[in-house]
Amino acid sequence: MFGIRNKIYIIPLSIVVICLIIISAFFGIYMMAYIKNEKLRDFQCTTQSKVEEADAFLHSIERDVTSISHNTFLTNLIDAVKREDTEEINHCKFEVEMLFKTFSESRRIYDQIRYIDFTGHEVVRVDINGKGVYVVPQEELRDKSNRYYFQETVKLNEGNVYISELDLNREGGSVEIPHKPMLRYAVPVSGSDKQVQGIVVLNVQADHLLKKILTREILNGAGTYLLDQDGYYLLHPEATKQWGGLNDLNTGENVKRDLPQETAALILSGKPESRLVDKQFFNLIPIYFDSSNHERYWIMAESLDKSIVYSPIYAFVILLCIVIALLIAGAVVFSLIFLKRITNPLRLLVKGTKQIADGDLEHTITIEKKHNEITELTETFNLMVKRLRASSEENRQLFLQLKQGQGQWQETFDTITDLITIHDKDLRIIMANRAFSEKFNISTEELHNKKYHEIFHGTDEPSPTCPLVRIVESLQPEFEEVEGSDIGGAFLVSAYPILDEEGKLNGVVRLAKEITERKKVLKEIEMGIEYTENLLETAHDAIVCVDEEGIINIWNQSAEKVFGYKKSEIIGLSVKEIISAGVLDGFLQMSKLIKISEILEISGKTKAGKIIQLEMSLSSQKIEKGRHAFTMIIRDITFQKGAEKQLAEKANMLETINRELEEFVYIISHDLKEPLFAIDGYTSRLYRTYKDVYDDKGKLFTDRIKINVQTMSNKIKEIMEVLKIGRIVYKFGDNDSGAIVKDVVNSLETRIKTNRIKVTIDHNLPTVYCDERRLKDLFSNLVTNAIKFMGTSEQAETSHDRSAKERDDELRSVKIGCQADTDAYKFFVEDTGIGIRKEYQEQIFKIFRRLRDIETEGTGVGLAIVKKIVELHSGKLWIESPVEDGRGSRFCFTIPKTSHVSNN
Amino acid sequence: MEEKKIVLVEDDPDHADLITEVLVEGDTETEIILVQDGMAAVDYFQELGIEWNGRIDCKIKLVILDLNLPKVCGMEVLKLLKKNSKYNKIPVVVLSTSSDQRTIDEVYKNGANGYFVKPSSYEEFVEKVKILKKCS
Repeated sequence: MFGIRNKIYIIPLSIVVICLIIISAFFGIYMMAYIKNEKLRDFQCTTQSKVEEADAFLHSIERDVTSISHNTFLTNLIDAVKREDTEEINHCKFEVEMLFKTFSESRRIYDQIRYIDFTGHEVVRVDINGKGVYVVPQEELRDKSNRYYFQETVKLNEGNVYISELDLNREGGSVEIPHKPMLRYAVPVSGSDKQVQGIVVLNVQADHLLKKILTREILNGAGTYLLDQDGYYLLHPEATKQWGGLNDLNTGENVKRDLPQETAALILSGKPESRLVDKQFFNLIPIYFDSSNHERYWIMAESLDKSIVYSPIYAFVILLCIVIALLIAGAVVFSLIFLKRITNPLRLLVKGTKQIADGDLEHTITIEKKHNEITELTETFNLMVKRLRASSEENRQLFLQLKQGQGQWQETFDTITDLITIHDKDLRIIMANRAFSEKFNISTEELHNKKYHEIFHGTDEPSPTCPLVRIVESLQPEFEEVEGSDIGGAFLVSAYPILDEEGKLNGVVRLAKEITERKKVLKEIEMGIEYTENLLETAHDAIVCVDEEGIINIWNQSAEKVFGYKKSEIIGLSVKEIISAGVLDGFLQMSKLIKISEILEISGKTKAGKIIQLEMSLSSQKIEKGRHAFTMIIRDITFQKGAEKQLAEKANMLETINRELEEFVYIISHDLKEPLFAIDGYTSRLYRTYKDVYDDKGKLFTDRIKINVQTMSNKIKEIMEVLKIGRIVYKFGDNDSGAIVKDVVNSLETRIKTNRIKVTIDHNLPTVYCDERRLKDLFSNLVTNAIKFMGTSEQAETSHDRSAKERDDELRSVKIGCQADTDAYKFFVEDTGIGIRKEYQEQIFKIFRRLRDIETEGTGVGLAIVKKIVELHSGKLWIESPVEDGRGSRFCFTIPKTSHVSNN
Repeated sequence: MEEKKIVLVEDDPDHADLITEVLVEGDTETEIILVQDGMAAVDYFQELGIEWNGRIDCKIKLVILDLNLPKVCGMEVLKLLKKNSKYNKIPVVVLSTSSDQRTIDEVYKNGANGYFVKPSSYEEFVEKVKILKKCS
């Protein structure tokens, strides 16, 4: 858990830290040295600059003294002195005084500026005191001939400068207090003749040098020392140590006393040095204050406390350490934070993973949204968990399904009615389905104990024909059909091997399917086929079966007879051999859609090539694979066709003849009418013209002629009537027969009345489908006939016997009625006349026939007309006579109920 | 006295005689013009037509037309008469032996003013003609 953290801690951190340390160490060291050096350099610089300044100062003094020595005024004075020109001397003295004063004022560093003549007497002297610069009056001028500086200086050559030692000024032999360090510069001066006449002396306030220059900058912890060559302190931080020299305070303070010999010797050697002595750094620089003598020098020493130098270093080091510490701390903190950032999510991840590993697949790890690798990892991880979940769910489902499947399998296994057993490779039964267990009445446990052949065959030994035995050898599925009443029917036993990867027998599945029923069915089918075949062969019509391409596959005996091809010759050939292609194709197509087609009349061809007329009915059946087979039942109707044709021709001829006959009769009757007109006309005219001359006989003859003419006219008319029946157009419709009958009776009223006939009409006369006018004609004719048959009542009228008359009247009745049958209406017109003898009942309807017994008007055509009208309505006409008591005739006819009446 | 002309188109001479007899009975003014066949009838009327040019007035009061004519049949003559604007105003009565309804219909369709059947009774015929004369 902490590995990463530690790793990050230790390794990088250590690296960083180490690096930091190394770097900072180097840095520190470098910086330290640098600082130190800088400091020291600075220090040195300071000292150096001081020294230079001092040098410059001293040099400036040299120049000053030199310049003064060369000053004109001084030269003048010298000259004047030499000339002993007192006025000039005073003048020049004044000028020199002025010069010295100015000089002093301006330079401010000279305690005294003097001109001392070669005798050693101060000639001119300018002093500086607290009050300022003043010229020392003559009286105060002294003799300085014994002074060393004088003595030394006069020895010098032109241009050389005498520089004294730096020591405390003595006044009157003792050290002046306050202490006044003094440095004397003197040059010999010469007049114009170039002879040394005197010296110029500059008393330099060395304080300026010492205080102002050398101790200009006193750093903290620094000390400035000025030593003379003897080691006496000219300048010392401790003022008491200063001026220890013999000439001065004579304190004995000396560097040789303060420091070890080598060190002091080193210092006093005049070599520039910088070194650490004790706890102090020393800068040693010689000041060559005498330019003409390089043996004379002071030693400028500046000390710097080590601490001063080192303290910045220390400070720096401390700072550095702090910084490093901070950095390290920072690094630590940073890495902590960083670590946290990394390890926290990782920890969360780990925790989450643990939870998931423990089985909680629903858990998802959440990490605050900061898009980095960790979150990616987390997200991916979550996805993975999701997937795991899904997969786990899948597995669960699969398992359920599997279980279900297994359950289903078991169900199926047990539901199958076939007897199934599963055997191991030794053919022992390891599993049996319910059907098997029930059939053999054996439980699963008992099964395992017995050998299979005991159960199946009831034998102690396996049978060689048993498929199980065979399968062991062949490793192929084996079958056997067994039958017997002992096993209860016929069974098809099939055995299927179960092979392992190497192809060796691992087990057997045995199936016993009861096929008793099937066998029975097969037998029936066989019989059915036989029956059908018989049918085919004994059928009178030719039966031909073709497939979709029209190839003949069934051909019966009658087909052989019709077409002449033997079965063997035609099977496999196309039906087009015997039947024209076009028509049949169309019907084959159509017959696929409708099972039975109508009867077709087509032509076919026999083997001999003869074209025959055929009547064919075509039916289709669907066979396997969506294909069709067609069965054609064919009848040779060539003969019929021929006969039909003849009939048609004959009918046609008959028709023509009939028509011609009708026309002929029409014309004739027409032509016959014409002369009648003339005959009657002239007969009338004859009568009219000669009626005076005519006697009774003449009148009789005229009458007879006229009557005959009329008769003939009537006959012609009647013939025309009959013809009309055959020629006019009929209009069929539903008409009320009752109304028609009433109409007819009304129109015959006069005759009925005259003949005193009672007419009874039934109420139930129906509406029939007929031609109204023709029906009217029909009834008219029948009624008229009925009236005729009953004779006139003249005899009765003349009789005085009323009762006879009445009796006679009763006998004169006509009854019209109707009886509804299933298919037609039976109408009757009944009279009470004399009746018609059986022999005449047939003939009466023939045209022109009339009964000889009665002289009736009319030609008898009427009944012929009636017959024709009834036939037109597809009805039947007959007579029933006698009706009652040997009298009466009843004319009956039927009119069919259907509207389907044949059209002529 | 106004002269009246009746044109009789009839081929049978007996019929023609009989009819004429009836028509002129007691009537001296009427002139009967007999035409004996269809063709002659057509010619007659055409000639008449030429004569008539411009003249509205015409003396022919009636045409009696038999259907059964040789050469050109009565129906044609009827059509001719009735189609021609010159003389379709003349009344035409068709005479025939036929009582066939179809014929009657056709005759009327072609514009005949009257039709009657030659009856087998002469007396009847006389009666009819009398009525006819009264109308014309």
